[in-house]
Amino acid sequence: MKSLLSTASIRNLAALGATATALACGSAPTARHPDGALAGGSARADLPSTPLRLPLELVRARGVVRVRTGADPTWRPLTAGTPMTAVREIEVTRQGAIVAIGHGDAAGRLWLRAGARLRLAQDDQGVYVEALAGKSRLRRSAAAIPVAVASRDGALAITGDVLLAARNDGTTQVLATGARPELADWSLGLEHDQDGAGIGRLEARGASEIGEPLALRKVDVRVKTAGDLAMTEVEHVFFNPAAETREGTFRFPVPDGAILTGMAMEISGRMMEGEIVEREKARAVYEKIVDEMQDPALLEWEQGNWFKLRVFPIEASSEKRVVIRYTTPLARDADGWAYDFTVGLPETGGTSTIGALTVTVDGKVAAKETNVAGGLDLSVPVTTTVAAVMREVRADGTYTAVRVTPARSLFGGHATAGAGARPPRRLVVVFDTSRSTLEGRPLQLELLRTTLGELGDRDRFMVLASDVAVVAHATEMVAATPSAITDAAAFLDGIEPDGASDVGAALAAATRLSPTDIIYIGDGVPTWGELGKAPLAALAAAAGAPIHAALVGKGASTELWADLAGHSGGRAMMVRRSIDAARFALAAAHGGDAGRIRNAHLALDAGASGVLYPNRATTLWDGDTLVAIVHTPTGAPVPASLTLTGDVAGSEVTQQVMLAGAVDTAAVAQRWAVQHLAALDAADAPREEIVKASQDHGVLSRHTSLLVLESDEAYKLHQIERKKAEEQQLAQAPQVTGGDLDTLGARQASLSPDEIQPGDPEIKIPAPRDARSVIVTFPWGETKVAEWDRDVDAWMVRFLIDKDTADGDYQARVTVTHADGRVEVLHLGYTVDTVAPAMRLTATRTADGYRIEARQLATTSSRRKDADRVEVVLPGGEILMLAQTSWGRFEGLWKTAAAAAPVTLRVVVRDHALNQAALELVIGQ
Amino acid sequence: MTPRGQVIVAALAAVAVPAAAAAAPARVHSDTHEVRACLPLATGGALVGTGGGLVLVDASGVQRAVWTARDGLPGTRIESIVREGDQVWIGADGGGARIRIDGEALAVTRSIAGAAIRDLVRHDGALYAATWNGGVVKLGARGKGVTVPFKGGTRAARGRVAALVSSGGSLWAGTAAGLFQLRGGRLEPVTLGVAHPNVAITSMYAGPAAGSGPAADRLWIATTDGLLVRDGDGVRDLGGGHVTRVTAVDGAIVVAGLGEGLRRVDRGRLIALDGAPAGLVLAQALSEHDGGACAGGLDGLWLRPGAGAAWRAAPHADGLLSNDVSALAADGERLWVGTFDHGLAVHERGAWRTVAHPDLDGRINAVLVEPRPGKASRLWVATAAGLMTLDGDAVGRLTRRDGLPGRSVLALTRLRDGRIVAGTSTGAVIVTDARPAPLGPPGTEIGNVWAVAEDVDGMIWLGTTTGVWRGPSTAAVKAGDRGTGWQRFAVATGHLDDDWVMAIAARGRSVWVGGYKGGVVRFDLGDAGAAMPSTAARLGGGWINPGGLRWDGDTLYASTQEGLRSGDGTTATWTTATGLPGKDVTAALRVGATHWIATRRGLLELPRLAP
Repeated sequence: MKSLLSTASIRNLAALGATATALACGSAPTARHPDGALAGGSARADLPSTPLRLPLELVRARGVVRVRTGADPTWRPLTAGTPMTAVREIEVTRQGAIVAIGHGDAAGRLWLRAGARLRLAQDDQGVYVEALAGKSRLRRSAAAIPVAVASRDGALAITGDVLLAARNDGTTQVLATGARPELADWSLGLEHDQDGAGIGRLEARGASEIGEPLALRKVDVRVKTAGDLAMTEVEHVFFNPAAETREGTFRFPVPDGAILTGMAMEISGRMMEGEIVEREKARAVYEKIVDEMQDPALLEWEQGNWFKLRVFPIEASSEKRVVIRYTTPLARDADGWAYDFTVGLPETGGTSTIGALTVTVDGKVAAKETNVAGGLDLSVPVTTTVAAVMREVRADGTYTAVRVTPARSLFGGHATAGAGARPPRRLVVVFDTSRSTLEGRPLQLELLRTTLGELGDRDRFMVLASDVAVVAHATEMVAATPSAITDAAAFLDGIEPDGASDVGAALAAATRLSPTDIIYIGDGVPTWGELGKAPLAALAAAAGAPIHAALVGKGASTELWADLAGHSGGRAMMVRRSIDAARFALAAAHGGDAGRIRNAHLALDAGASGVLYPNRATTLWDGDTLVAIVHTPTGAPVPASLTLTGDVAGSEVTQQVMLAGAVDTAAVAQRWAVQHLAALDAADAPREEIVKASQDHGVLSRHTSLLVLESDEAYKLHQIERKKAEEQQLAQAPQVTGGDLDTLGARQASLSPDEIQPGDPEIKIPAPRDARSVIVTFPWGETKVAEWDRDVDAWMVRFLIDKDTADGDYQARVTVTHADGRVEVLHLGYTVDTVAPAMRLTATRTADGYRIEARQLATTSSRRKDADRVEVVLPGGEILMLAQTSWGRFEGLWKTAAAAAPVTLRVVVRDHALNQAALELVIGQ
Repeated sequence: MTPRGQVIVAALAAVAVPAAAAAAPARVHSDTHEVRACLPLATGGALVGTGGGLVLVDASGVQRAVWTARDGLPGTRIESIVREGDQVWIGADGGGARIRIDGEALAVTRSIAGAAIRDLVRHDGALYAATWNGGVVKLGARGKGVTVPFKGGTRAARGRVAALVSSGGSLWAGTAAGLFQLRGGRLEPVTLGVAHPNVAITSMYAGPAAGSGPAADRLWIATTDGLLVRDGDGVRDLGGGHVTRVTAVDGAIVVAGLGEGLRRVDRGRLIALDGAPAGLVLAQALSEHDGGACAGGLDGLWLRPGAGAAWRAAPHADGLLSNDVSALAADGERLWVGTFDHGLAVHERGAWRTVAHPDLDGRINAVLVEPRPGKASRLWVATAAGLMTLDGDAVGRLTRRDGLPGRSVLALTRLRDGRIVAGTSTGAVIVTDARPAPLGPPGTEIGNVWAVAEDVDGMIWLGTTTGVWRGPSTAAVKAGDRGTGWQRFAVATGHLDDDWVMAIAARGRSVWVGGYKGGVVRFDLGDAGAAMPSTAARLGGGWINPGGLRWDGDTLYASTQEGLRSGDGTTATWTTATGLPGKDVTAALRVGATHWIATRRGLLELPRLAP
């Protein structure tokens, strides 16, 4: 490298929010990838041979941090409180870390994600960083010692905040953090306490009422990708070591952006799938049965992204399994797509280790560890093919999703603003001090400090306290110095939240200050003065500045501010946690540097029918990809294209988005439903409509909960439709299903292990589609080759259980040979049961008839009480179907006058394997 | 003997179906692709035990004869072939037999019916048989033999014996519960120490490999989780995945395995066998004698005529797609044959043709021919993945997406008005113009619908797992209408002995209903419009298979898990057919003058019989 500060033209770096300068290396011209990679040159930039002169200080470490110094080839740990000098290479494994380059961030700060490896060097011109592997983030203030990111063909001098990703081809992707703040989430997480990401915790209480976290013996994370989505199933196996039955509360943090799609819990050795039920009904059913029957479970939102579930009973000295399912977008990586999964064991409370952790992505084991402590941060490359257009056809129509990436030409020269320092900002912060913000005040203040903290030395700001009146914190804009920020916070802290919220007045006041950006921090609901959306939009437009809104508090709504932000070229975000505040601050403070389309709208072609989301104005930054989804009702033609319109620096831009070539992909309808539910919610749609949409698509809403009952019969008893019955079947792997088993109609008896009569059951093996072979060897010596079944997305094989097969437990062996040659062996147990259930029948006289009870007797041939149907033939021939009240227990009321003489009733009982017995019950003896 | 491609005359003892069968030529169609055991012969050919019979192949691998249970073997699925002196024993799924091959003729010199025999060995002057689910049996000169008592191990697992070896003066038994040694007249467990609890022994060989040093009592033990070698009391685990056979070939220890084909032991490791058949991956059989060798598995058969010669694949013989035949249908002289999990084939003018199409699922439950005036018939195929139609070369597919209530279609019938009724794993549908609409009692979950039929009054019958339902007149069921007036007959109503209804056959003013284990029940309709009687006549008949009731002339045929039964439909007297390739009969059908009887062990053709 000849010169750190030589310059060259930079294409598209402004799109990165780039406060970076490209530097030529040697005489080779600098070639760049459009998205900001440093790439393509034949010459490699040679770092200075001198290692980092500045000390490298560990600020915070979750993972293992090691460095190489001087000419020493060995790796040595970098520990907190012991800065190291002459560092030439650093790597972080398992989880991330934060390090300061020089004391007090003299040359900036680095965030390193697990798997990151950087080369460091320094000469008289400054510090050099080269990304060798993984992802990292670099921040350098303008006043700090110069820092450059080096790559194959050159270097970029950095000022500000950038994300670095090492590419497979040896180049480095450099993105401005503010333009894509969501990609910096992992780094923001490092700055906050680990609260147990990725896995649930189960706290149990016994007679002593003192709760304690149960040991987590095993966590199996099974991930299947479909298009640009990942469907994750997290199975937890907890262990109750106590000699007493306990009750507990299971809590689970759903990752940001995830759609919670299901849960299942082990009840009496059987995994029961939860159903989405209207919230009030779910609560009523739960309350009604909780004291009568064992094991109902209600999963409800608790706070933030945490859901909780009451679990009872947790048997003494036994395991309890809980499964959570959710869908998340895949991460766009420098070289393709990746599945990100973070396990963070809580730093306080909760279980401190996981006995065994396995993460399997598309059938390949991405992690398999025992005695996991601390946590793990995984980013697993996924070799999925993500189609531009995805489709899911259901009975109610076709759902088409399209990934819309605005063409670079739309941005024109506005995407390539000049390099170097950006012009100073004039920021107005509208801070809601009305009564409704009382509870959210601490987070509001944190937002204020964090956002202003992102401003540069030349930027100025003004805070407007807004309720029924608007009060400025200063007489004029002030420089964004630490003391000025402290003063502003103190000013707001001194205002008691009270009164209504006059958003119109605040916007008008902000406009008078001629700001470059407006930040709104509040619950977003106008309650005083101008309340109409259109007049408020006009006021916002008059400001002529992008509006970024952070919506805080229980009653927060994006209804108004999403539109205001979208029209103006800003963003609106719900902020619930500190990490959200950090993300907002990055976006609000730095996002304005990049080219963008304001007031971007998508519309169906004229004459086309369907419901399209997103259906409101938004802002699209250069490099953004928006997923648009349209639902076309059955019978209507799917639109051929969509039209994207928007405004770039006052000029209207248009792009047609074709919908041809759609590829069948799972969960498109669910993605649509998430937006549809939000739209219904915003429009104050009738509760019934929201509940129906939630249940139809299997997506939770504000008005629904996930309810788990102990048996299919219990669902029936409480008139809860088993929409998850199929998942119930497919949940376990491998499993016996079909044929004789699924029989069983709504009962879906096909659980594993199951009790089955001789017949033709099927085995479903959820091995990856590209497996070389899936072979099942049965206990009688027969071997069958499973076939891929595209409908169930799994390998299936049928087999015959011969009539002469003796009752008992059997095991089939499943050998999966994966595409990479790895062999996986599974064992599938099943039980053959040909014995009818033995029952005790009783009849008790009541005021209006006889209460008939049937209780299954334990027998040596039955591992569990598996009766599932009891019919009583009444005199006259009508049949009374007894309701199942718990395993092996049934009851019903025969409304009749007292029998004058003994009456013999015929009773027919049946079990899961369809074994039947006809009994007699004599009444009136 | 049943030479392939020829028709032979064979004797049928007490064959009831049809009555004249005793004098009729017959042929068993079977699938002999899966090799389960083999024995090289001095001719360069081999005796091959397959899933579809005992096969004699010549040195070119061409099949010269196929013998099944119909030829006097104790079963059609051949599990083992053992040379014992100058005789050959075979183990089959229904017992064992001592046989003699004379040219291309088979003579069964002794037959022992019972549990499947997986291995035989002579030890201390007596012959011992390894049986599956029957333990180790010591065979005397006559009778079924005496079961050798076990000590230790679970009853079920130790009863599953796959291998026997006589070595070091002891008899060793390899079972699903591990290794046992005969001591003091009973088999006692021998600790191996290295095996996973789920591991079962599949094969054993006694003796050292060439160059491995003296170890007279060395045992090579093939298991489902790798190869073990036992020297004295020490056991080493050589790994290797699921090993199905171990034996010596050219002095080296060679194993057959599922997924890895043939490998040999080299200095304590399993390595590739030089020149091993490349196409043999799922290997189950391996044998060598005087330099000749044979090997095979799910991928077919390979022969090696002599030491040092190359392995050659035997040509694949045309025939059934699978021995497990699940459905038959006739279209003129054309016979459609659906198999349990290997797809659809058609037999026409003495030749087989496979029907292959990416949309046609291979798991077939029922097949129905829909005659169409002036056009070729259309075939409806009920599969585990929906309802398919075959119209010339075009394949149509109806699934849950199209309105089927269940993924698996179990039963089909064609109404007199031309519409199709299909039973699925979760209810029934009536198909009009390729559009299915739900059918059945509204608001009632009837479960699987295994049988569908229309009676003389045009009423629909659904055989379900909750009994049989008689519905409205088919004429009254319009598109989108489930129909009303459904009446249930079940164990609770006193009409059935088993609510799991598998088959329905209507004839005249009666309807016969067959249950999974409830036999056949006859419902008499009475006069048109009259109420159904409160009782039905029990006719017995055993365990009826899906779609297993069919009238042919005045004979009611019941395809049961215990054989093909025939009766007059009015009395509980049934006659059971013998001479079938398998006892589990799934369908019986007459095409022209030829009777076809489908079993889970092959298809019997009884031609040129009077109707």
